[in-house]
Amino acid sequence: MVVRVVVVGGGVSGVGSALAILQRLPSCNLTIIAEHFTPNTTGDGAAGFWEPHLTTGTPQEKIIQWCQETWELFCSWWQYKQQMGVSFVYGETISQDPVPEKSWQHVPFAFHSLSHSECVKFGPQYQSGFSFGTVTAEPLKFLPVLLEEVRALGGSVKMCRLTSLAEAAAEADIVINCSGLGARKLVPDPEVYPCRGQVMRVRAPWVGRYLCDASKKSFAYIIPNLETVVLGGTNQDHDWRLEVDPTDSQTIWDNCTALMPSLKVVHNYGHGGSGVTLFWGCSKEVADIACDLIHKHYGLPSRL
Amino acid sequence: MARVCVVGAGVVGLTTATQLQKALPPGSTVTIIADKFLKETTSDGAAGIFRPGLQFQGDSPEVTRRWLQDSFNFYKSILNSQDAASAGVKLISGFHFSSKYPKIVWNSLLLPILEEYRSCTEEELSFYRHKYGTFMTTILTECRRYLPYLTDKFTRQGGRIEKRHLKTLEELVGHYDIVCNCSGFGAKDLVGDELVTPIRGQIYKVRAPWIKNFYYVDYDMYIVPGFEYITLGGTRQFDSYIEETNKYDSMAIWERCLALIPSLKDAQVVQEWVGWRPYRPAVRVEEEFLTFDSGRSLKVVHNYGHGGYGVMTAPGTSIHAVKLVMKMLPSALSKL
Repeated sequence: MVVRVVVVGGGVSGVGSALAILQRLPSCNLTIIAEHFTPNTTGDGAAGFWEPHLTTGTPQEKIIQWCQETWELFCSWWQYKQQMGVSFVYGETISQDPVPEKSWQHVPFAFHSLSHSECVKFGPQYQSGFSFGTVTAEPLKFLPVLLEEVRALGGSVKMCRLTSLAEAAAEADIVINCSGLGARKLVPDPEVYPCRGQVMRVRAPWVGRYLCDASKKSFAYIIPNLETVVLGGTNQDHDWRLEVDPTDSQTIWDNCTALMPSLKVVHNYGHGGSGVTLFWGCSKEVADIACDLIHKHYGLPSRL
Repeated sequence: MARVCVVGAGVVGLTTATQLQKALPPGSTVTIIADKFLKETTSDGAAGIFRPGLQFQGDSPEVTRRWLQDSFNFYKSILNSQDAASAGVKLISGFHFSSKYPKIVWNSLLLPILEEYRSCTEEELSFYRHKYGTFMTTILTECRRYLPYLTDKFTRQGGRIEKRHLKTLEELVGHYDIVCNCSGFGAKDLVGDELVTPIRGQIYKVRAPWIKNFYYVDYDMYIVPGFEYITLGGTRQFDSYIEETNKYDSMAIWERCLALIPSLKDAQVVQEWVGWRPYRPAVRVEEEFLTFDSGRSLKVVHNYGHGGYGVMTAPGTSIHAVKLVMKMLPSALSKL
């Protein structure tokens, strides 16, 4: 039999999972069903800065495994596949608050803590900080390429708004739920909630290094992407607003120009965003799980 | 009160001219006389990175170190201001790799100046496939922005610019109290300095926005991202007067750069360019009381012979040259 796989969600997790499954099981019949595809997914607004965060509930070994696999993929894209939109950047993260240990610090390049003098050169209020070499991978650039790869492996794409997972299951042997925030209603899972992030994209081609302020009081970041620089941000739990908030814009602008005065001359565009650091590791694990399930339920070999 | 002329409108001439405007007494005038401006200058093609060669020198190690530190501080203050983008000054991180020469990846002139300068980690070395390497954060000045920025500053502060080719400095006698000779390679003919030698440099300017760091390998391979373009280089051909691009140099540069970063194959080539670094065994920053066969004389302060380090050391050498001008000024004015 030909296994029918439906992936719900067209963002980085959905497209990643679809691709990982098709790479493991090229003979399956796979469709991605989603309301939104690139350039309208959450990831499309992201700076795509590789750094695990907001993952406190997940077991650290999993975070490390997934972020490591994603890291390796992004590094090979930077070296060999520039159309994927990956840049390699160094920079600093500083904070007025103490900075906790990072379990993943062996993954990126040259992770080290900043000395006191390295912190206070940004202002006497900065007590701690760290630096590492990392990548930025822009979903806006790589999602279209990954979708092409999905199609090349025989997968298809359907734009449609599902009201329940049962609807997806109607024509599927297995459903892969990568619905992101949509899972709150779709599963339903009330534990899923939005953490609103607002960012500004500016043209500032001289910014080749990142600078992040991780303090609660003055949270801000300046992250170079391919053609633009992302200025952020906000972390507003349970905030569903998709519109740009001018007060947030002002705060982001003030905080970022305080960190980097040279930004004051730029013009800006506007958007909203989130994170991309774990997508490949998770997708491969999803493929493992899916294949095991398929093997268990349909007696097909888990690897062809 | 004082009429000062700066010969040369490259990065050294423009920097010296704007520094003079700050230092000279009120009522003084500064005039730049040059035959080449902006895109026509040697400065235009420079990658502009703050990174001295170990043979870079002034009259003594102390002078050399002072020029470097003054220059770095000067660019740093622009960097931390709102002028940084329009002036073309940015912070840049990058690497120097070698698989054959462990010593060359450390630069003793940079060590006391840079805040961040360390050995590469094992992962970094393995990623870039080299045996030895250092990582540093330094400053870059893009002349395609910096020269227009200085020109604008100079003219807004009342400076005059004259496009003119001088055969000899004698043409300026009687018109100016002091002349600053910032003529770069032009000094070879202008003041008959046989020590000025071209070091021919060939480069590509390409678009490859995914490259944000600079890379040097061994001696003559570099990838330096500027504001819009990346400079890929290079060559250092001593005493070569060839002005056209050489296809073998192009191939060597391209191959070496791609060996380090394969994705450069997708870079968009915008331009190939050749420049002559105006090399002199020591940069000449000194005063001279020039006398001509006619018996006439001229007070001159020289500031030329920066080789491949003109952009980098324009501020420090200009500060020094301006001090010499100020010292010479009273006697120059008393002749009136």
